[in-house]
Amino acid sequence: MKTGRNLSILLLVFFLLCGIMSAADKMIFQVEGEYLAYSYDHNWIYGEHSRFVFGSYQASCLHLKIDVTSRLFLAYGDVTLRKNDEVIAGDELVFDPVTNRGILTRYGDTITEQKIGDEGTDPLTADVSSLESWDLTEIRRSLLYFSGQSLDISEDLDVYGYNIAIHVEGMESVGFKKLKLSGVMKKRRTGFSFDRVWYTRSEGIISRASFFYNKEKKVNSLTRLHYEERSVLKDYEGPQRQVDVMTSTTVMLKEDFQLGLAGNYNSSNLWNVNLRANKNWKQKVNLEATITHNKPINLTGETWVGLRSQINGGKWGTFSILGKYEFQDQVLANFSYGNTFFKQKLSLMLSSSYSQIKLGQSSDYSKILTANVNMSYNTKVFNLATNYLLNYDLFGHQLLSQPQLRLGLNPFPLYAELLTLNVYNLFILNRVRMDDIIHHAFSNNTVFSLSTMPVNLLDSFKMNFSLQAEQFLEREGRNFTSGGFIINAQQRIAKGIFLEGFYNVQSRRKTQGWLIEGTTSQDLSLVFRLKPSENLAGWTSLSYDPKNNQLRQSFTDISFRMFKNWEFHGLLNYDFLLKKISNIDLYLIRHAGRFQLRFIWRSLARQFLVELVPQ
Amino acid sequence: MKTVLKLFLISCFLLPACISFSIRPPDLPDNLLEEMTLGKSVNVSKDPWYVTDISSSFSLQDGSLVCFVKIRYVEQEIRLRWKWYSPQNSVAKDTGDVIVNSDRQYLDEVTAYDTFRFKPESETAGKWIVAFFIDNTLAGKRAFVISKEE
Repeated sequence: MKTGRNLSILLLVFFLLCGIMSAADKMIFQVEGEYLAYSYDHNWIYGEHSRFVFGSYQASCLHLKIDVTSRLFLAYGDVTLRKNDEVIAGDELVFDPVTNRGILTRYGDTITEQKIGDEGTDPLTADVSSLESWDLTEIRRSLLYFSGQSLDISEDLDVYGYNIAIHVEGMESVGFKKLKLSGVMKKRRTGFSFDRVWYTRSEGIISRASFFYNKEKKVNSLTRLHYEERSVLKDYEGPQRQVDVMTSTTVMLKEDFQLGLAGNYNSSNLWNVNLRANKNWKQKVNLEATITHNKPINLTGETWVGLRSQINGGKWGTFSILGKYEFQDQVLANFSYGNTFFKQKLSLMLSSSYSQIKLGQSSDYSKILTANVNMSYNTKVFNLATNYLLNYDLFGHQLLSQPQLRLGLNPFPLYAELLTLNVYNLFILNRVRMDDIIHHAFSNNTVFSLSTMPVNLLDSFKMNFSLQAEQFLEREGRNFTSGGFIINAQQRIAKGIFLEGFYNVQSRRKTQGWLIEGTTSQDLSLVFRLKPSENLAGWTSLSYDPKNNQLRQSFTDISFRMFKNWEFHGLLNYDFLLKKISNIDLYLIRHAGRFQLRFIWRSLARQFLVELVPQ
Repeated sequence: MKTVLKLFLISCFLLPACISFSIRPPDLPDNLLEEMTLGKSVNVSKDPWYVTDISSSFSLQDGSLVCFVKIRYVEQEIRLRWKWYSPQNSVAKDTGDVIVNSDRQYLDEVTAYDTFRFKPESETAGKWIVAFFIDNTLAGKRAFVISKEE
């Protein structure tokens, strides 16, 4: 017990040290100003009377805007670039601090542009028009923003602030001497990162860490560690701790040849490892060789070697071949071919597979051979598809063959697209042979549907309907006849206020010899919709069963904007059969640029949740 | 439970090293351009003024457009100026300096606008730019398109 606790403390200290060590980032941009603000919600920076280094220039400007996510930098208002005795002045500078390229613009009698940067480099092309849509006011409306006089941006686009004050929902909070402002919502960076550690009374101490290494077009490697320490829990009877390690590394030896190694380990004695080599020839032929070992809990491990090839033959079609062998005589093989002809009107797909898999721990194997042929022909008027499936169980000596034919009309518009007609027929034949016994079966299904576009009968009233009939026949003599129609009507009561009615009747008859069975269902529902403005929206629905003269359910959904970017959203469900409120969900949502902060109450689970959800 | 207590105590010692209650946020800048909007006209019948038909695309039939600005925290006399640039990047209209707050009172909010009337010639169609200056310093700019057809 004591060892477990000490181990958890050691792990925590180790992760913290690694986090501090990884904080030493290379900076691509450093700025000082009389007023600098960073919005965590949007990942934006705004500056006043700013000074920064741009290439070999000391730069200053009255206003500065940066969209960190998009890496857009704009300085404007009395922009001055100084280098020794050289002084360049302008009104606006769009720049990239990584490549040290920029465009300086002057708004005089004419608009003139001057390229800034090393000789011979391409001029900067950056569209900064998106920066016009926000300003300091927008930043100050953020749920979380920082203000100070010194900010840095690292090459991983992390933002650091010095002597920085935090503002939460506009209210000034504590200050920090140095703080990484951009937090965790960013792309993964190279190196060790300690993702999280937390404690709950039900799960104990949980921590996650990962190591990521990426060298462009050379190596990509990610290793994750997940650790759970449960010895700190009272009365816990399961394993005291658990470790999960996942690793995946890809090495690109050449542009068209790469090696990969992936593995998973769980301390409950479960692990697997996969080594693969992949080679491409001119994007037309791909060959992959793999060796995989799986070790399940309490079972013998399996080692598979496999070879997979894909050939893209252009007009000759696409071929794929897969073969796998396991050292306990298990085999998997697959072949497929696909192509299209006659301007893609006719498509053909052939596939076949064979598997020989051990049945549990016994010495028996299931041996199954399958083949499938699929052909379809599409025209402007109709579509025809045929499919033939063959499944041969070599172990159980059972052969299933199933040809099927589908013929359908494409949705057919009538009366200037006021009506749409749809008809199709599907015929399936089944033939099962088991030893010397042969069983035949067939079925045929015909479906007809007719629907209208919404028709405006009055200025404020519109409706549409759809009609459907289906006949299903089987060899055994069972017949199903189904039919139904749906009417939907909408009445506008006032601007943004609507009343909708929905009536649905479905009937189904089953006949077999002299026996006739049938069911008919009806459903009537009314929906009252409200959307008078962008800030308020809601609806309430009531469903009624006319056949049994019974009210069923009622749902209500309402959402409205409160103040700033706060929104209330409520859902209510009333069950008339049980005569009680089934569920109430209440949401209080703060829309904050890149994420949402949600306070949630769920009556069904009696839960109160606080969520931070990326958008 | 002791582990949790240890972690809490470690945090209590570490946090004061980074948190400070003495750091004050810098003062807000004055003459802050809070809004720069293009539209077909400005409704001045109600206070505060607002732009109607906000857009960045106009047609020659519209005849004119406005550039509306809102400036916050004005303490001193300021000079406002709009420059309208044609698709050929030359000035088509320059308002010159418009002096605001000459009696130097503190104004929480200043709203102003300039109207640009199109010339009847067809060469006005294309991508235009309006640049707005406070005290002869660029404070903002907007691009817009004037097309020949509605």
